[in-house]
Amino acid sequence: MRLDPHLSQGLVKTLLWTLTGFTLLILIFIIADIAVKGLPQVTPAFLSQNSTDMGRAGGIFPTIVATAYITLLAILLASPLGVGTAIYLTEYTREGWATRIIRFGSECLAGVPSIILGLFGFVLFVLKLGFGWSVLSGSLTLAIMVLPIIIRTSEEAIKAVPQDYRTACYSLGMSQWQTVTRIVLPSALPGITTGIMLSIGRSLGETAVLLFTAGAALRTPVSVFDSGRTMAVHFYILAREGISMPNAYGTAAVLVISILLINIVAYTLMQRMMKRYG
Amino acid sequence: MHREKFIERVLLLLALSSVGSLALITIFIFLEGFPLILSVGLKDFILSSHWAPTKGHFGILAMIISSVLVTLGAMIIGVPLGLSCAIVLAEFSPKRLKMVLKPTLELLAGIPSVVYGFLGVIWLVPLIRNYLGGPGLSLLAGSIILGIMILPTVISISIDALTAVPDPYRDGSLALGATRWQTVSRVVLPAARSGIITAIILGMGRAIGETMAVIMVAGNALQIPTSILDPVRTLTSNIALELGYAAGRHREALFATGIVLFIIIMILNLSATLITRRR
Amino acid sequence: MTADPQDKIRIEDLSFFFGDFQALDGITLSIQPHEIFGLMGPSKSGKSTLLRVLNRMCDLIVGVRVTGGVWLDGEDILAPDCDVVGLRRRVGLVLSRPTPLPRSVYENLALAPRLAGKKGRGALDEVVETSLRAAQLWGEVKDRLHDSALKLSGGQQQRLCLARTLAMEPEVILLDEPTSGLDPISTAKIEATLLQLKNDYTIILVSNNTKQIARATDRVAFLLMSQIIEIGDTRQVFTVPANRKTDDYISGRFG
Repeated sequence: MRLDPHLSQGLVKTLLWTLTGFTLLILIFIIADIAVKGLPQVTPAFLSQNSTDMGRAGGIFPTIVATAYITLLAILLASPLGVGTAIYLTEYTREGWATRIIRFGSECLAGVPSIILGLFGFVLFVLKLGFGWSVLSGSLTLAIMVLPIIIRTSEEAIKAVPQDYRTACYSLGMSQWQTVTRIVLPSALPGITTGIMLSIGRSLGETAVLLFTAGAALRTPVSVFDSGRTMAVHFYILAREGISMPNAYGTAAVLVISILLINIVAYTLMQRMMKRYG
Repeated sequence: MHREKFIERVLLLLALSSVGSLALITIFIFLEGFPLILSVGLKDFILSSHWAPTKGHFGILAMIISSVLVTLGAMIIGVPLGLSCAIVLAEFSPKRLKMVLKPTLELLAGIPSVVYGFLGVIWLVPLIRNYLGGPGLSLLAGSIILGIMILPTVISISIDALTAVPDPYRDGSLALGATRWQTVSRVVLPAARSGIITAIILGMGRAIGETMAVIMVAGNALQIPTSILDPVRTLTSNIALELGYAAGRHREALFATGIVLFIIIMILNLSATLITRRR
Repeated sequence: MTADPQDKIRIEDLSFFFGDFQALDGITLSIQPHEIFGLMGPSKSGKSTLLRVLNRMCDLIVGVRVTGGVWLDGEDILAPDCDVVGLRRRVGLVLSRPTPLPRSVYENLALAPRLAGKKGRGALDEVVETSLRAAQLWGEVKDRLHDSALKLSGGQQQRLCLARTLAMEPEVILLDEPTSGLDPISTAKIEATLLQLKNDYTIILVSNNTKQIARATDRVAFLLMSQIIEIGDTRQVFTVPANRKTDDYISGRFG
């Protein structure tokens, strides 16, 4: 006997909505658990004090500095490369084998798991180039990790800039470079910023890469050759070695909230860009 | 004119950075790990499960099997949930709900893997230990956590694939008297097939490459699991756990493990790219 | 055609191909200083392509091929070593759709002159005012110079684009159906502006509005299927056309 189509539709819809609700519940649970147990730990002192007793007591100040230091350096390294690549792909060349290779390379790079990047950064930067476990080694490896994100978002942003702007600039006797720097890039800036924000978000949460390139020294790094423990690595060590659950939750709360905020800003910027040109 | 040519050259140089990095990564991983595979022999390397690197035994079969099983488990959990979400959001929910839920789900992709691992240890592992038995840290725990972690990837790419199906397809089917679900299952899903397969493959890549969360919940025991409640050690966990203290041949063996992982991931990425391109 | 030293632009046997499609076929034409020269013809007849060869905007399209010669003041502008950016500063182009840049009114006018080397607030202010006055837009926008140009009406935007071209102080102005999207009042304002500009510039006007060509130009060429059918004084072409096809076109039997 065949099931009545409307009945089967009803059953399937119920099932799908149940699974969807379940998924959302899991994700809400994750955020709620971190917020409820972690936020009470996050006091001004927690954010501004040095860690003592391997992280059992004190705050997470050194890890905040290390996170900011490594992330900013990585973004500074990756942004010119990523945006330059996007400009080359969209403005300076025609679709052909060169663009295909570059796009393919960037897609593959995006798929390389972080543990492989960690291995690579460890052997090249830490050992072969002798940078040791350091902010520099960590940033260089992270830069490679976020490069594909910046390339893809910048390329989309630049492509969304109306062709008329370019035509108008050329017809006024502006050179290609003047057109790109004065009109195209400023118009694409919200989209490019989105890519950079997403990259920052990704860097903040990264552990596997940094464990093997930046090390885990629980001091505030000053020089780029100092080792630095980022918040994510600190959280991992606190949790895995069972050092302090309250502090682990507190660190997780700071980490997750910063990442969510950054991603929300990135998303809003992207929406604005799409509304203007989409 | 000369200036413009110069700028073009500089930009080309920048544009080669991603390809260059990829090449560098490949070269270094292979240079460091390949000699070991040659000296041990490919067969003994990937078909033996005797891993005692300090005593000269380098078999990674147990880890390959563990990685594959954990990934399979993650797919069994993540794909139905993710696809259901995608179908509901793309086809059955009011537009306003979709506008809120899709970005929310995508934001969750930003939650670091260590956080998933941590919550797995706190909540999931005790549940498994108390109600199903075993040590709790297990193949099952790893699969569930990875299954949840790949949800944002699967959902987001599947939604894009579903929304890319032109509306006339739906209208045509509905006009013939089909219900919405018949339309979705017979018309929309087949039309979005390649996009959904891509989503699944990319989710798979994400799962097999994931390290920190798996280390935290899967137990890391060196064995071929016989039950889903057995603790397992994946390829990625093995690298991360031992790289800190490995030296000499042992370190080479970890890079060789990396080569195997790298090849698996590249095959997955390549098939995803090919499927997307053929569309 | 013998070389006349007075020619502002001389075009000889110019052909133009997009891939397999021939958009211009053996065009020979000369344009005098301080005239308004009209190009008319049905759409796809090659008018816009011809205009885009004159300031090498055609370079931006993939897969084109040009043969023949074009000289501006005796200088070969199709030569490989021609300074294209410099050429575009001398030969300005106004497009059929208004294309204001996403900047203030002031910046739309001052950006290109500044990049071309014009320095100093005073000099730029002067360029902005002069060109806006010339385009008969000054009165309407003088109090909103620092508002976004995107907020202007369509007709104002198009006059802004004309003013922007004038701000570069070019020698030749190319207009590609500049009033096609505008209401009659804005159109009249632009036409009036053109007649005033004639004293200082050489103007080439492409339009498929034959009445506009009749009103605004001194001489005219009729293009059909990539070829020139007829060239002559506007009044003569419109009263006693030499070619049957021209007659058919201006009397509205096709096109």
